[in-house]
Amino acid sequence: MKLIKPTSGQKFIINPTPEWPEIVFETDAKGDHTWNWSISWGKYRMAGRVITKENRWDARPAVTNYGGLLTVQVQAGKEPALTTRVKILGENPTIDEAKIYLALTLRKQGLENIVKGLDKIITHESKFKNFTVIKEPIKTFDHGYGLCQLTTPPPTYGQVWNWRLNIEAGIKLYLQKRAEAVAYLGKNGRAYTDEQLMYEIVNRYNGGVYHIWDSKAGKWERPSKILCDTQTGNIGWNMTDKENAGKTEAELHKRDSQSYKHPPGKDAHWRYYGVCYAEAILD
Amino acid sequence: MEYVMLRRFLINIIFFVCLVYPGQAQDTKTPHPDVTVRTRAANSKTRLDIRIKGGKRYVILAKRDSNVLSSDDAQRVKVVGYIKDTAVILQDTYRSKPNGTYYCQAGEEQFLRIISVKGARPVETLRLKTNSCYDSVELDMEEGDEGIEWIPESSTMRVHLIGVGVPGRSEPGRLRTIRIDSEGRPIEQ
Repeated sequence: MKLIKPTSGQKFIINPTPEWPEIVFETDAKGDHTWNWSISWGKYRMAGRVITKENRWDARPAVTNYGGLLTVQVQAGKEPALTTRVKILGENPTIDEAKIYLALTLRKQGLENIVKGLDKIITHESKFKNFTVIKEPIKTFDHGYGLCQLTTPPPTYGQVWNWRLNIEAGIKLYLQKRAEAVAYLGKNGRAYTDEQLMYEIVNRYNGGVYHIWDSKAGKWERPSKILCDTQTGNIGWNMTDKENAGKTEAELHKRDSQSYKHPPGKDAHWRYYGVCYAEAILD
Repeated sequence: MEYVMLRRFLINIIFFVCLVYPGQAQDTKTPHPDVTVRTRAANSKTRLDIRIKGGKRYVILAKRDSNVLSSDDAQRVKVVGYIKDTAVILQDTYRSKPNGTYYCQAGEEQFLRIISVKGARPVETLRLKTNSCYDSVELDMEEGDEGIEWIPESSTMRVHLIGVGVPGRSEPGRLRTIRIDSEGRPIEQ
């Protein structure tokens, strides 16, 4: 038995829609064929078995939403099994396509007035790209995957490779952060504006809280002690730190910016602030 | 011969330095009149070195969770309360595990622990997450002392949690009142 197609190592591309390509496997044998397939990428793996009456099988339905290395072993009659491997890679949507999908999904779910600023978060995180130049999903050194850079809960295989599913998971994560922000700002029936809520949500995506309750004024306030480095995504200084007090942003940036490439150490006088993250995105 | 002596000398120096400065130990953030805690990361756990005024010392390896980088030491430790010869109540706080993105980069993971010192060895009898960027847990910092009230007269703490929780991983926040019995064990009220 010989495999007529595909050729070993052939690349198949998920288009920007995203639509999975036809991936037809065909032999020169006759009769029933058993196709044992597995697809893997990093820690992700899926596998299955399909039996056909003919010498041809299209893997597309089996691997839709997945990508990486597809391995297929085919058996027909008493012929020795053949194994071949192909690659499934992906192309990015345009920023407009991804933004339109986000907006339509929010509208369909009745969330267009609830989920605000998510497009700005995604722009900040990934510039709406799901794939790198080698057409594999964006993956940061530990756990951030795809266009929404999903981390926790760990995204599914499909959420990593299908950018639409990635956006849908990003919406769920946003709603989680929104629920936190509402619980925080609405404590004891306190009033807050839509704008304050958005800053609080975006802040929580990065960590910590944005607003502090001013009990004398009876309203939520931005913490006055934090000065942000506006040339960065979320770095700032606690101005009550005596090493920072009285200095300007420019002076502090000049002093500290060389050390930004690593997380702040014990002796650092700067740190990451959700407050600065929210302002970098929303201001 | 000279090389061997020099090597031995350097090893002695390193040993001495390690004795004096055990790792990147953290001191307690909030001074407590009777208790000092130093920490350092040890095999994905935190080595808590608890020293009581008067000379008693307890060392215990405390678990964190997967939201903390295995090599990270606590950024700060706070002693919430101390019941003489019975229990130490403390909070240890870590940066959220970095993932290469902005998500939770400014976040924290925090544990509230009861360490019973009643027996021959210290034992952790309660580990409660009190802050987590990943698991939507947070303390109501306006209540008590940064979210926790310690009432020494009744060996009771009131923990004001307000996070919404993540289904399957953490519970929605609520007020939890926990009394500590004579063995250093928690009794939820």
